[in-house]
Amino acid sequence: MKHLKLLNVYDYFLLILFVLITIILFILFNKDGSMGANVSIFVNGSLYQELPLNINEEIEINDGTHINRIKIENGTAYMMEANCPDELCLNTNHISKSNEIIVCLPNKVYIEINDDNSTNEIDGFVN
Amino acid sequence: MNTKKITIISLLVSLALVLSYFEMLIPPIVPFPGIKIGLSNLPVLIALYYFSWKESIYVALLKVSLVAVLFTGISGFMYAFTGSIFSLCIMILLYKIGKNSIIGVSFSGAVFHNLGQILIACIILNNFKILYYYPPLIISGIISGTLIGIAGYIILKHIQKGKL
Repeated sequence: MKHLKLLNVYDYFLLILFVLITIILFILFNKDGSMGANVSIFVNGSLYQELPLNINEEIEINDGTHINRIKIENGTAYMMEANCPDELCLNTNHISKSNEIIVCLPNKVYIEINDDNSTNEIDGFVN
Repeated sequence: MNTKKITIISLLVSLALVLSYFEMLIPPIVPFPGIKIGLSNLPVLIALYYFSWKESIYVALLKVSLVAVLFTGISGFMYAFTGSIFSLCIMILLYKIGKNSIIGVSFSGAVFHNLGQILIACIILNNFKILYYYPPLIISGIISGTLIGIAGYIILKHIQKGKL
């Protein structure tokens, strides 16, 4: 059993490295915190629906076994109901700013807010 | 591999299974996907320091396979397996370099475990924007990994004293 020791200077170096990566990633992801215009819903990795944020609507995704109900209300979107085992997606915050996301991993549902510019790039259908 | 080694590895694997199950019973401390204590990394860490890198791979892979068979199924296996491979790589690398303490090895393992899981989630959902979830996971990995590292340190100290 070699080099069994408590915290040393190399650990602090790694710690600072990880914290720096966190800060850089955080800044990268949050740099354009403008209010989003659209909400895109992806199921199984492909675009399912894209809706404007300024409407009030309830979307149900139901493929027989996986059920997710997403609510768009007052410029925010959130997961209202899901039958996934961990229900973590129900506890995530309401999203309204561009690039914010909600993921329901067990049901492979992914919701993303984007602004008008980025929607032109996506070749999905719009209801 | 002698009988004593096989026995201790088996004990560590069963310990990891019990800890995995125990962790499923506690409600998530922070409601955020991927944040957990990672108690079952403790036997892997102990295997790494008590034996060497080979034995830690045995413990980790047996743990991941058995947890999948018993509790989580194939989808859980993909996440756990990738996470384990990532965390094993960095833990063994840092252990071999030998500069870091057990705490540094442990929290690096946790951070890379989360990286592996988030990358496999990106591949499954075919969307790399899920990396948005990674910064909080690094912080949670550092905290939980440090706690597990301290626990491992205490346990290994006792093993050393007891001449197991």
